[in-house]
Parts: sequence; C-alpha cells; structure tokens
Amino acid sequence: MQPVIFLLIVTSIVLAACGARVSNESWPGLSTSDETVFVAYGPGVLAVDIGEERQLWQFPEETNPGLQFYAPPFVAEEQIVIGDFGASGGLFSPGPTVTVYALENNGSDGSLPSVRWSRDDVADDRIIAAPLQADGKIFVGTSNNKMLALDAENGDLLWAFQTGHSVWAQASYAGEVLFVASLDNSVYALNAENGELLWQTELSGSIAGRPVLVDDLLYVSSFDRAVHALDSSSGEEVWLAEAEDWVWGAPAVNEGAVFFGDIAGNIYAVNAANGEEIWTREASGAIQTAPLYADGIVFVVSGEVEGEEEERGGQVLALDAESGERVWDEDTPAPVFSTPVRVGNNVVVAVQNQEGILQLLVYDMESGDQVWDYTPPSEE
Amino acid sequence: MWDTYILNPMINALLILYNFLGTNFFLAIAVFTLLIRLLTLPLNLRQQRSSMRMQEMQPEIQKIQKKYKDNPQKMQEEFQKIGYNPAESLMGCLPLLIQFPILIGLYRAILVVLGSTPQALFELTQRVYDFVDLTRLLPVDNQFYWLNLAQPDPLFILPVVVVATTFAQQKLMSPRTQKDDDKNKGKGKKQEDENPMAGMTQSMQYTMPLMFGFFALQFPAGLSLYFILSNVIGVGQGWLIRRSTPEPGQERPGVEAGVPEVEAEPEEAVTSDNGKSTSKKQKSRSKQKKRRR
Repeated sequence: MQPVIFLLIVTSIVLAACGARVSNESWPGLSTSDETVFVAYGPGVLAVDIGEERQLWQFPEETNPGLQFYAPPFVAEEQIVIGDFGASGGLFSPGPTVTVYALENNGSDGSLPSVRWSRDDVADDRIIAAPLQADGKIFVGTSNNKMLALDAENGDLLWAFQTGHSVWAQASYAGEVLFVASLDNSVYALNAENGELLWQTELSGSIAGRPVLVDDLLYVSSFDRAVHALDSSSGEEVWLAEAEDWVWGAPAVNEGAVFFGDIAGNIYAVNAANGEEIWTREASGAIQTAPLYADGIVFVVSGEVEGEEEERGGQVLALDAESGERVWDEDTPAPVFSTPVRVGNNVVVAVQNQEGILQLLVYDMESGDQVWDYTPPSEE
Repeated sequence: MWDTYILNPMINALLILYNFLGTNFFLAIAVFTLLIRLLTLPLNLRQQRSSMRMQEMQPEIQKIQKKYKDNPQKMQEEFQKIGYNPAESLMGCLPLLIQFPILIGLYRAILVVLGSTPQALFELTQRVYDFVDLTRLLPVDNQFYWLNLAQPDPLFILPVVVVATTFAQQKLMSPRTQKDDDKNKGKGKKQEDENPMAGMTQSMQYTMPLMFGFFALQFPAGLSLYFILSNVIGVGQGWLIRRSTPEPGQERPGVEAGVPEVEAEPEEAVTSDNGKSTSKKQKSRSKQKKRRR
C-alpha cells in the first residue's frame, strides 16, 4: 500500500507543479513602431509587419522553454529594449535569471536584429513592466520592488530605487523627472539623474498602470477604484474620479478628456481638468488595460470572466470619444488583456488562449472589419 | 468543484488570517497549518492507534494467513474472531490521502494570494469572497526575513529543514518495532532481507524526506514553511503517542502481572506481511491474550 501512496504523492504534486507551468504567467505585451508591431508573448518577442502582413523576426531565434517574455518592448530610434520574465536557474538556483537586452533596430528589413548588449546582472527579479528609454538612460521596473536606471549604451547600472512592492507599470519621464508607480500604493517622483526621491504620494490602492503626464497633471489609475490627478511638481492630489471597481490599466488622456475602464467592465470619460463625468458605458467583460485613443475614437478591449475558462471570449469596442456612442464592436476568441496599438488605419490586439496560443487580430479602425489575423507558425 | 470546495476556501482563509494577524503572511500560513492539523487530528490519531493495534496482532494474522491460505472464507472468519478487519488498514491511509488536496490546493493558493504576476492577481480578484476587502489587503507582503514567500528559498535553508523535520516525523509516526530497540543491527538487516516490504518501509523513511526536500527546492518558500510547521506538529504528536504507548516487550497497562513470559528464549525477529517486525516475545503476549479471551 505504501509504495502506491508514495507514487500518488509524487504524481499528484508533480502534475500540479507542471500544470501550473503550462498555463500563461502573464498576458502578451504590445508595442509599435511605424508599421511594425512587437509582441512579447511568453516564449519570445515577435516583430510583425502589419502593412506587409508578414512576420519579420522572432527573438530569441531558438526558444528556450524555461525563458519567458511579457513586458512590451520599448522601441527607440537605434535600439529595441527588451526585459525578460526570467529563465529558471535550475535545481540549485531557485531565483530566476533575468536579462535586459538591447537589439539593433533594423527597421522593417526583416532580418533578426543583432544584440547590441544584454545584461543578466542588473535585474534580480522578473520584469513585467515595459522598459523606458529617455535621455540616454533605460528605466526598468522589477518584481522585487526596484526601479533601475541603466546606461542605454551598455546596460551599466546607474542607480536603483527601492519601492515598497513590485513595479508592474512602465515609468513616465519628463524634464529629468521620472514618475514611478508601484503596487505598494505609491507614486514616486525621482530625479532621473541619480534616483533621488523628489516626492511620494500614497494612494489607498495598488497601482498597476503607467502614470500619464499631460500638462503638469499626472493621471494615475489605482485599485482604490479611482483615477487620481496629481500635481506633477508636488504630488498633491488635484482631483479624483471614482469608478465602480479597480482601475487596472493606465488612463488615456486626449482632447481634454480622460478615458479609463475598470475590472467591472465600465468605461468612463471624465473632464481632464476637474474629473467631472462626461459619459459612462459598459463593455462585455473586465477591462484590465489602458484604452487607446485615435482620431476621435476610443478603443477598449475586455475579457469575459464568467463561465468555463476555456470558453471565455473577449471584445474590442470602439466608442466615439465625444459622445461615448458605440462605433463598432467585435468579439474575440479569447479574453483581451493587452493594451491595443494603432498601426496606420488599423487597430491591433493580441489574444492568447488557455493553451498559450497567440493570435494577432487586425481591425480597420473605422469599420471594425477584421483585415488580417496572424498566428506565429510555431503556434499553429 | 475543486475551485469551489478546496482552492477558494483556502485562498479566502489565508486572506482572512492575513488580515487578522497583522498582515503577516508567514503567521497566516502558520495558523492555517495549525488549523489543518487540528482538523485532521482525529484521523491521524485513529490511524496511529490503528497501526499500533495492527502491529500487535501481526503474529496472529500471519498465522491465520498461513494456516488458511487456501480457504479465504475461513480466513475471514478467523480474522473476525480476533477482531481484525483488513479494511481498517486501508482506512489508515486516509490521513495521507487527505494531504494531497491540501498540498496541491495550498501550493496554488499561495501563488494566487501572493499574486506575483498580473494574471495571478487578476485570478485572485475572481476568487475572493465579497466580505473580504481585497483592496485594503493588497499588496500581500511576500517578504519574511530573507525569503520571498512566493519563490523558493535562495539560501537552501528551508529545504534542509524540510528534510530533517520530515525524517523526524516519519521516524516518530511509524509504528515502533523491535528493531528500533534492538542494539544488534545485524538482526535488522536480517529482517529486511527476509521481507522486502520491511525494506520498503525502511527506505520510505529516507525517500520521503528527500522527496519533500526536492519539492522545497522547487516550490514557493510559503509551501516549505507549511511542510516544516506541519512536520513539527507531527513530531510533537508522534512523541506524545509514543509516550503513551508501551514499548515492544513491555506489558500494556491492564495486563495481569505474573503471567509467565518467554524471557529465557533469545529474541528472534520475525516480520509480517506489511513489513512491520515483531518478536517472539510479542507473539507470546498475543497468545496469552488469546487464551484470556
């Protein structure tokens, strides 16, 4: 009997552990440059030319099952900055080995870019937030409560700032000030030169979305069911706009309005100057990402959370920014938890199903017609 | 079903404990472990007592099995006469079987509660009961001294402690055999040679700690803490039960004094089918009991 129990224990726990590894650890992250979309989706980063409807390259060329990528790449003029989710260090190295890469930006010539530099000695925990390059520095938030500043030329660590919890949001930069949001409920303004703290404002909920700076106001979404407008020079709160549930994704600010969604599926438009409500609408599922504003239309993506997990779908919803009227909506085969990007006259969304299969869906911005969809060859 | 009855209650219990214990996730895991051990205590005690009883009966069971090996019906009747129910030995496995869903559930619950990835945190929002104020509890503090409770121990201290405590618990929880008290190791070796099952029982005492040590290398430190605390409680429980149980070769309380023992004979260990060893002394005691009946 005892050998049977022994085998059962081994099988059960190993299966449970393996099962947890098969599922996605995070959602794909999208960024764009000209006609090219870059998507970090687990095993690697893809560059896909939406205009020519073809995949340009995948990094790394040979995927490593233990290595994952989720943070959207940052595309600068000369290089593409990528932070990985970490590779398993093996049996006797429990912590993940996390690397920051700078790839040559070859534009859309289709060749795999060469690695300008890569550093696995600067970040000691997973990178979920998109990196940011500004003024010769790269700013990277990590899961072990740090904001790192690296030299954009070689990846040397310039300074590190310790927060109270993980940094999942890309930082914002303006006038040598870096604005950092953390899950520890705080927004930090740092001197970008040396990482010195200029001010810190603590909200009553965690912050997972990027702080957005427009006209001296810093717009911050929070799990405290609100979007806060802070004075960028002092951190003092100017106004707050309440939501029904957590506001996870960053707000989109344009034409005097702030657009945001909550995980209960509500979409809000408020006045950027005072936070007064302009309109409120509903999506078909939870909204976890930032809306995308383009040419007077607000695009909101959502994911269903009810029902069997494998049967859940999502939605892309286009609303008139001024009135909130529906322009078009399209159902997606899986929930959409990645911020959409604009490429030309198209809006691109990424979905990843329970098995981790990635699909890029390309819609015409005005009509909502699906003009292309793409699944990487290795995923088909 | 799994989510509704195992995972979600565990997640919410951990969050409630975290809230009431000063937002200390280590304490939440510690109290959670204590509660689980309390809930499974009656089963554990029953299993241990049952295995002790089985051990005492082994000589008689073996004799019956040998005598009536071609007559299962008669064998069952004889088993009934001495009060032995083979199904009872299967029931003894129940506490171990109950450990599976607890271990797997806790592994998932720790990962979800600590929400170390956006997806895990989003999953948490879908699993929390309405009366738990998740917004106020987040972010769950995952630090405990040098440990990130959602990651394996980078200093390998926990895996070593898991191995040591699992071994100690295995040693104390397994029924005491004559071999334990036998100074002559040669006899123990002879036992194993004579009965491969006894060898298996012995090897389990070493493989189980190594197996859990391996898990501790791979799994979140929070789960290793559960292993350790659970083992420490198990060691205490095993020690108490041992203290209240007579050693092999001693009379149980209530057995009349003056009944002749076969002390003069040199002890020769024999092994039973389930790998537990006993001695002629015990056999003699069993015979006496039978006679008294």
